[in-house]
Amino acid sequence: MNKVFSINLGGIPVTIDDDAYNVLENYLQSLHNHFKQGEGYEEIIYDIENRMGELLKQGLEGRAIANTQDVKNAISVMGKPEDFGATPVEPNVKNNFTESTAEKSDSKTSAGQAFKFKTGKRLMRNPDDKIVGGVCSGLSAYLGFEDPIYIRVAFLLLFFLGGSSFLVYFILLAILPKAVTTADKLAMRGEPVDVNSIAGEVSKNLGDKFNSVVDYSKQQNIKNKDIFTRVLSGIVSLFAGGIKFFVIFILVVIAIAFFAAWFGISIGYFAALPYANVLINDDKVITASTINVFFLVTAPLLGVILFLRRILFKKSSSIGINIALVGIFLINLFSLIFFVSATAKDFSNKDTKTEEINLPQVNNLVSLVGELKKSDESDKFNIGIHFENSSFNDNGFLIESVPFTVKRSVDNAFHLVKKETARGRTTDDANVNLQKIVYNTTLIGNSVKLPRAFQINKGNLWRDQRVSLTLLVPDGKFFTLDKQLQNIAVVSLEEGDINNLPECNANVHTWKMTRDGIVCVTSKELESL
Amino acid sequence: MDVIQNGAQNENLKLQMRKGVLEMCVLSAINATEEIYPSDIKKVLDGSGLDIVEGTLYPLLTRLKNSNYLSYKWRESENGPPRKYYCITDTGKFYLHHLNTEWNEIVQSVSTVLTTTKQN
Repeated sequence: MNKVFSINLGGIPVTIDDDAYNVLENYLQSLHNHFKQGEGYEEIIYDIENRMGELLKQGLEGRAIANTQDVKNAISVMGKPEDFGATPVEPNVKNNFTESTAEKSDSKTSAGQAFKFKTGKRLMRNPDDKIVGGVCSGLSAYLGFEDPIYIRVAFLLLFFLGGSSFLVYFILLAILPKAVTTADKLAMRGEPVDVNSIAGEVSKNLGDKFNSVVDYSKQQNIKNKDIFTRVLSGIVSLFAGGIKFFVIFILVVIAIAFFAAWFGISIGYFAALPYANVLINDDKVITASTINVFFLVTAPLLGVILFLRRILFKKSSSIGINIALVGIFLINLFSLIFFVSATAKDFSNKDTKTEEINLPQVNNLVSLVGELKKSDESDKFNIGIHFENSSFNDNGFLIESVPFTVKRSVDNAFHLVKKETARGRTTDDANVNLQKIVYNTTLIGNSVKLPRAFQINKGNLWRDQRVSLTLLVPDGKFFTLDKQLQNIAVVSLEEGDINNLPECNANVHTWKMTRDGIVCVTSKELESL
Repeated sequence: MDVIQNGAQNENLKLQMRKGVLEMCVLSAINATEEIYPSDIKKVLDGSGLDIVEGTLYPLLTRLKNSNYLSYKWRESENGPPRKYYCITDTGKFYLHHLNTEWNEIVQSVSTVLTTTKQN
């Protein structure tokens, strides 16, 4: 018992049994290998297949099914590639073998060579099962699907989702060769499973396919008879090559940028770590969000490197790694968003406390001195960045920002007002955070010493605490500020109107409040004080 | 002795010589008819003792056709699809003439060499 195939040999229908089919297939494959590099490949193969069909038909003489002998007879008329004067792969001219040995080794090497080169399928258009150009069915034959419907549905879906598959289809239509001959169709479907060809088949991957598409378009430049197709496929292959180069260039730039960012963020992050303790009181949360930041930067960097590797070296990473990278990125992103928003809630409410600072018993003049709080940065090795106006000392976190404003007093008396604000999850929390502000003024003789910074002691959190000072001066009265306070003092006599102190003689540090605003003190007035 | 023993080399030489003249012979055979089917070209060559397989003809015919020395017409066959019948073009005729001249010169030179060396 023997299976029977119905085949199309160059337009001639032939019924052939299983064994004969294998012989014929091997023969056509050997012809394919012999002619594929040369010019006019498709036409030659078509003509030969057509003649083979004719010879088989003639040899049958009325019988229905061609057997191995019929195929062998037809082959003997047509001849094997060796009979066409194919130059032997390794001519054994130098060796004094006997004729039979030389022949044997020749046929052996040529068969070995043939198997080496014919591994894998060819991506071609399938004219036997087509809706537009046979691209989808050729593609599914290449990918090993039995029914091209899957690829067609995928193309249609992609078309409706983004429209890019339309372009892809026409590029493939232009560059893929049509499977005209039987040898082509065999190559399109892949070969019978063979020990020699399995190895090459397994290692196929997407990157290779992309390259083979470009390669095929190059090959087709020679093979296509039609000048229009030749020009079109030339343009497309040029275009594809250009795009590939451009993509690689962009990816390299992105990889470098990511690497720089990775480096910068890592260093910056460790430098900023002391500040994390002021912002977040839970060490576990700090550790977790550090890990989050690390993966958020590292995962995309690895992704770009893997993608580059795939394009440049055609080594694809497993889909598991890709999914894992995306998963790690998303998990860390959501985790960080969670931590950030949890911390951000601690800033949602605000509390304010206003307090009057005692002034010495004065008549016409108040004297204020600024006090610069020394942080420990000068005598401690302190890596890291410093946010403006903030630093650490042994006792806690110093914020060197205490705005000082001079205003007109309405009740004919001097007042020095301290205003403190803080934020918290609730107003009560904000009030608790308000209590963490350490800001003490001191009386020294007739002057009041005003620290330039306030402190948040170790173990307490920074929740946007602020301290500001306002000096209220009645009309006709004087005030003295030291150099430090002069630098930061602003004058606000009317709501929303903010000015600097008027410039005076460098040796004069006293001003007078008048109806027309603040003026420099005269030497006469200074004597009287 | 050596030449006869080294059969592979001998075959190769024969093959190369035949390859060189095959193009001229095929053109000549086609030139002799109005139009001709490849298997009939083979018959003509077989009759002369130049034995080849049909497979040799197809690449040659395609190449000659692509060089505009040949053209072909589709002719209906009794059973099966139409067949390609080849005929020679004017360029082909000119080319064949050129080949013939060259060939005659070579034959002349070779036989001159052979006869003079034989006498010696």
